[in-house]
Amino acid sequence: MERTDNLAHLYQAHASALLRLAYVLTGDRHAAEDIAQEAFVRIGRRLIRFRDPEHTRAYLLRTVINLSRGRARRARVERAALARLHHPQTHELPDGGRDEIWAGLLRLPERQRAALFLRFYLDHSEATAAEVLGCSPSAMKSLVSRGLKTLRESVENDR
Amino acid sequence: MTDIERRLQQTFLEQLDRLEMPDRLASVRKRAQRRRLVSMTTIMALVVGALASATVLINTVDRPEITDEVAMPTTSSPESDGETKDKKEASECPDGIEGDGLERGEPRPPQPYFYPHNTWRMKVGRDCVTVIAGAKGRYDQENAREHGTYRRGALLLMDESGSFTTRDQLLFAPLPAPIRIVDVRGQGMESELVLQSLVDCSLASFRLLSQDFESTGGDYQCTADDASGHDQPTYVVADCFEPELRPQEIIFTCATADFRATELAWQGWNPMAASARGNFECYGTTCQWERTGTIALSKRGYCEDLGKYVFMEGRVVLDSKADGQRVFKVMPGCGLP
Repeated sequence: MERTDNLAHLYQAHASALLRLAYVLTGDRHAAEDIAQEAFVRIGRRLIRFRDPEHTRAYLLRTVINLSRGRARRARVERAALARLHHPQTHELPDGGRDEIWAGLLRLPERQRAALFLRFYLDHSEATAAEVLGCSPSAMKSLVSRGLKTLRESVENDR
Repeated sequence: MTDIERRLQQTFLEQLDRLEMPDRLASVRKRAQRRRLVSMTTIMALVVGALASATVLINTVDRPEITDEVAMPTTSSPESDGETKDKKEASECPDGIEGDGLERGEPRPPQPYFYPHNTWRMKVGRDCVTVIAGAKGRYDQENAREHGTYRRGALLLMDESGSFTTRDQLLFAPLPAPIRIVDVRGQGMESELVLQSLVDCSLASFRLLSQDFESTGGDYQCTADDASGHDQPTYVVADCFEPELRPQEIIFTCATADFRATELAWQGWNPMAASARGNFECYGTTCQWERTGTIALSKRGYCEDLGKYVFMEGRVVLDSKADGQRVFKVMPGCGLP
């Protein structure tokens, strides 16, 4: 009983952030909802309890990042298969493609996208964001820096 | 805050604040409960399986030692015993350099590999064959003795033998080829093991004397079938479609792309076997882990569609367990059609 109540509490507290992160990583609203839901299923299944609520949040965010990476890989394999069948599939930008910053963001590698989301949307510190991404703070700094640089160049090229 | 950072923040707010997660809590609870039940069933099945294995082990512990030692090197499916076998192997087969046994850029020793004037002795362990070659003729420099351990057709050099005190001495070891066990003839003390170099097809057989094998010479005939195709490289289908040599990444599950190797650093690559250290990750509906480990590719086979030889199988050994398992069998094969 306590577990399910806890799950409800977690869902209420983190669902939107997870959905938004998944949306930044996938660019697909429906896929993002499925990924966010799956993250809660996993934490509910494994009976995980964290002493620090921030660790729960970090675990959920990390799960969403991993699930999104898995989905992107499957998509790459599917695209390669289609290309081999001479049905090249263009990777269309999802809704929001009109915004040049958003379009540039969706072209960044997934880890850079996640790093920018954690730093500039969730306002995480470098150390916290690094913990979520499973890298060192200096690597985090580098991801953010490279992401911003590419984004700046992408916006300038679009003009 | 720079201009691009400010604009990015603004874009995030515009694009994301309107997104709200629909209430799927009931579905989450139902699915989590179902998976917990599946996990518990799996754990129970594993416990029952482990108890059954333990019973089998107790029943076989008194088997004759020599029969077991001779039979194991010919086993072609190392995964059948899973992790238990891997532990045995780790304790009995020394680590070494997998590959052709030569230093980078070093010229190959003259062939044939099984030089007729060499004398050989060997010990057969459960999963490895240790060859001790008392070399004569042109390999008699500095009275060097060559030690090599062969495992599943791939060559490993031992470097813990007292005979190899310097690295220079290793250079004299005539170990240019992957070896395969061609045949085991006879039984018990009368057993004879036939090895073949897959570079030049030269053969050597070893008679069992006490627990050692001794060479009877290298004058066996080589057939065309034995040598066919061994001058062509063996590839691996790394991305489910294209054959590659020494790829940095390999996708093992083409249907879902859940399980893959990344950052592979190849330690050896020859027509019969290849091995690498790397990162192994599995992120899917049934797994969520990332570990370092090694992969050994084997079972060379020809793919008609690709027109190339490829490694059909691989064995991944993680440095630490993931989901209770350390050894995984992978089948890159010919990839997707």
